Amino acid sequence: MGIWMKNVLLALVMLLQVVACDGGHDRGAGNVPPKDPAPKTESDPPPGILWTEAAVRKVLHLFAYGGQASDAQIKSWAALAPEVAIAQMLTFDEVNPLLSPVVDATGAQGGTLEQLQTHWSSSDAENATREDLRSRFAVLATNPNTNLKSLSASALINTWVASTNKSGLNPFRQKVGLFLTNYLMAVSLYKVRPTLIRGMYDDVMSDLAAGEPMWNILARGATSAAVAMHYGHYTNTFDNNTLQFRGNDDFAREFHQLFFRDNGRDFPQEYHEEVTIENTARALTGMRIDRDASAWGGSDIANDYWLNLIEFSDHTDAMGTVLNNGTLHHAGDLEILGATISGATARDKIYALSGVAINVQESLDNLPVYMIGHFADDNLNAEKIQAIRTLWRELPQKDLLMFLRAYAISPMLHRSDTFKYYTAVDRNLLLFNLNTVDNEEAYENSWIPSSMLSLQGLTPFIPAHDVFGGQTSLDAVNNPDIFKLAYNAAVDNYWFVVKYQEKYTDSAGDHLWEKQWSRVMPPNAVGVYRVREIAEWLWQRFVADDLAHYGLLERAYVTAFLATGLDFGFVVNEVDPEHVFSETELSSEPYASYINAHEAAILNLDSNDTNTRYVTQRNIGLAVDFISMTPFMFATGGG
Amino acid sequence: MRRREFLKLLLGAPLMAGGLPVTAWAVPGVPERLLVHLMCVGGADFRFLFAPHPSDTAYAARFWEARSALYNYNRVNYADYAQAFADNYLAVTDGSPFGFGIHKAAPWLKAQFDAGNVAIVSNVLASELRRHDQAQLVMASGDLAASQYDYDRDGWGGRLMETMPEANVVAVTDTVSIFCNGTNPAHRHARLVHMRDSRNFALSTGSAGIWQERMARSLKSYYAAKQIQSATMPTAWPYHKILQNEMVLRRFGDGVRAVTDAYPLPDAVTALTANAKPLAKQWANIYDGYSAADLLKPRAVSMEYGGWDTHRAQRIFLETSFDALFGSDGGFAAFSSAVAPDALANTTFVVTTEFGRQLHANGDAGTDHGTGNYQILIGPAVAGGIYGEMFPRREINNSTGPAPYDTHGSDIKGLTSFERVCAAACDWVRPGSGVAVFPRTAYNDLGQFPEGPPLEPGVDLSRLFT
Repeated sequence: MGIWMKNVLLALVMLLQVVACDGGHDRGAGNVPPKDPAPKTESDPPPGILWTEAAVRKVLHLFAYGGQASDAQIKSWAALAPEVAIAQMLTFDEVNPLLSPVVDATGAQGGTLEQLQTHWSSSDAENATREDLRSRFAVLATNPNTNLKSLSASALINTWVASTNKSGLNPFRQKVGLFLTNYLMAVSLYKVRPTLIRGMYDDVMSDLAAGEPMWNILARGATSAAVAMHYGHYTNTFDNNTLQFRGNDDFAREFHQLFFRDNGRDFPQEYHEEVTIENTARALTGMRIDRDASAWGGSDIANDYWLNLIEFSDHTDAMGTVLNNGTLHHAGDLEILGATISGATARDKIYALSGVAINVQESLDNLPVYMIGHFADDNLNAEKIQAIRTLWRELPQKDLLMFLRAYAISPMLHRSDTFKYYTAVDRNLLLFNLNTVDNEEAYENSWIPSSMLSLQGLTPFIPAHDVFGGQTSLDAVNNPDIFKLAYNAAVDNYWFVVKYQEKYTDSAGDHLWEKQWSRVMPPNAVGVYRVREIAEWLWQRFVADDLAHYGLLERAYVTAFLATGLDFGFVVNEVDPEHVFSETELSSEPYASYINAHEAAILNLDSNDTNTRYVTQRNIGLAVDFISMTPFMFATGGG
Repeated sequence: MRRREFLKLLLGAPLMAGGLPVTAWAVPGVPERLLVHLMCVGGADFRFLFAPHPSDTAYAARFWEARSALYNYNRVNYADYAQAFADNYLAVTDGSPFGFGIHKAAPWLKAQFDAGNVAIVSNVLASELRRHDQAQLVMASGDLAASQYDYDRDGWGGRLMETMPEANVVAVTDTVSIFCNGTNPAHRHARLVHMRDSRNFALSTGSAGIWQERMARSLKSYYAAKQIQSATMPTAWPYHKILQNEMVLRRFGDGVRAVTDAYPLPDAVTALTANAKPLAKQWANIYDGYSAADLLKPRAVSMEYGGWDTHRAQRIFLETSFDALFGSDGGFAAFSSAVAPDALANTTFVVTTEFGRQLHANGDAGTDHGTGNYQILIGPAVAGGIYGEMFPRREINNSTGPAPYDTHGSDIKGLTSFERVCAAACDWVRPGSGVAVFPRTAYNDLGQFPEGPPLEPGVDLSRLFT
């Protein structure tokens, strides 16, 4: 283990202890920065780490869809010791007020998906969601042809998507929640009702916020109604008299292979197949799911009656069905992974088994690498893989938060050969989130990219690969059709990004929402919004590379849109607007003068004239739209 | 003679459907020899597609005892099997003592087998891991040693393309399979055309309005400049991939649009969409790929069909899926009737999956993960027949211990590496390419070279193509 890593781990352990003494594991109302944040000193950053604003933004881009933190907050984090800053940036609480400032009642009703869905679809006076948009979050939808009510899958998807761009919540929590329920422990709306998936999501995130170790997170998922329904083992039984198992071994295998990334190579193959898999299947008996016809507000569809509830004992559910989850569970001990697994119920046994499975060598090797590969690095090499494994192995509690924090401020992430391509969700939600200037826009702009995500192959809660997870970043970047769809959306549906006003009517009357970039965009030292600085600010906001890829070409196109609303080629030569410029050309006349003139222009963001304001907001939108389609919004890092 | 029969059969297909489609065969493109790789994702139970004939009593009794639960028959009485077979299968005579059955949901496949255009390779093995993602990676890459950490790697379709000066893989799938990737780490997709939506293939020109036009012009000229700039960037620069995506769309977009504008989809193919058949879009994409063959130079096509992970109630899903592929109005029948006979004569389909399933039904009327399986090759160039022991006697008799049909968790024993079969298909596309694409097949002598991929004794895959 490198010295830097020991230092990082030590610092994080100490920090966690301080936070724990200060009221718990960063949770609830105690979610405030440490009382005495350590200022940055020359010895603080681990070797190889340049902890700058760009580094902070990189972490936010990779782990929190950019976050909603203000520029001032980002500056503040860059000025802190990285281990202090990261502890503030990444938490699993429902609300992280530094990452996503509390500006209204958004998180006041709680930040679980269930709470948000209930609140955003309600007529609660505190609900800022437009009246005409509340139905998109409603748990139940009515079929216009049959007039029957049933659980809405799209409402769950919309709720999750909307939760990433509202200030007052925690986009890091949502990103990790998506990873856990759509990749590592993938379940699909094709097989499982939305309320069960929502329940699993909220349960595992609640456990993470409570500081549960990774093995308990995986056990929570493994014993959930959603997973039992997805893999079908909720009907698996064991007759303790005849010793007869009845069911399938699907999840018995995937528990090890997918959840723990253990292929069974630590044991002879025959043992893995005949003992580990078969006995895990026996451990997964007695998991019938409760049903209740009045659940979820009263669906008219019997298939919606399933509850997010497995009671691991003999009982009768609300439908009057006798569920013998105790009697039909394998009563005795089971040998799995070379250990004796005891427990009176499936829940007991799976939690016990998880504690063993997390320490199987293959899991120790594979699980951390899989997670970092998902979040941050598409260019892993043997050296980085070894460092990631060491970091994971040294964590005594296998605390996912501590692991991700330590990684996020390690040289592994910030070295020049680390890069990450964006999935369709990563890229579109970065754009969605960072193009939303405040909660007024988040609630009043009706655009939500749920359907665009589906079009580009990543519908939340419908993993593309079914069993083993959603679209990966390599799936996305190796897919020219996704590029085409993004490109054509930027061209033909430019309005999604450029929109600067929207009218709507509700019971209180007519309303007009107007985009207000000035709420987040900084004027320069003399108090004006000059194109040159604004273009760089936009690039840094969306690309976050310290302007590394903001070259003369990018300057020419971005500043032309900002200053004129026109494409650069058309500005300089209407006859040949698709002329292909070299940087040499652009640095010479007459083009250099055009660029300089564009960069010197002043944006009238605060004009009293409505049309002038709209033109300015529109031009900014066009610049953002253009930036979003440069190669540098499809990946981050890599020099 | 055999090829003529095949073409005759195809000529009859549209007539049986009610008349000649208006646009059938009215397309210019005729690809050179071309391999269509159809991956059935999830681990398909092809043992459900093929079944032993009841007259093979020794085997069929054990088969029925282990698998009757899959068929919704209440009793495990062997007497039921004759009826079950009659209800579910079309009897095939293949020169063997008993023959076998092809599921009734696959009449097109049966007709093609009878015409000598289907080769069924038995006991094929890829990964022994029984893990979906790893087994799919192995099957797509053609590399048994594929690392679970390396998904940015070459595949066997891409390698096959590199054996020819002008050849591309046309991927008609939602996600581009590793199968399509080439060996150049700086440009894995140098030989790929991704036609997920052939009728909406090109980058927008922004014709809808002035703002769209401004954005389209900007992006077009910007990307053209970046393409030039990127030539000076190191090969490991991650943004090459994004530029390569733009380049291939720009290169082929207008040409594909011209072809699809000129040649509407034939009735048989549009009927797949109208009838909500799975893979309808992929068949339409392939058809357009054939139409634009002069432009795209396709020598391989990548298809995928998901959902074959049938742990529960598999009969309904499998019957629906067999019908979607091999039914009288399924994808194969429609496509075969729509493309020109000479184009079809140059096409071989390789139908495969990542692993097999266990011999026994589980307790949920499904089957759990196994290893060995069948691979199916279809086309006029195929020397039809059965390769390998279709229903191995070792599954019911084992001199050293319990027979597989007596053992919980047992599966089809893999005896022939998929590398052998796929290499033979490569050799048909491009003679001599098999060893280049699957280097391990250079070790071709049984037993003498243990590092070589296995081949079932008595099987001669050099006869796989005419």
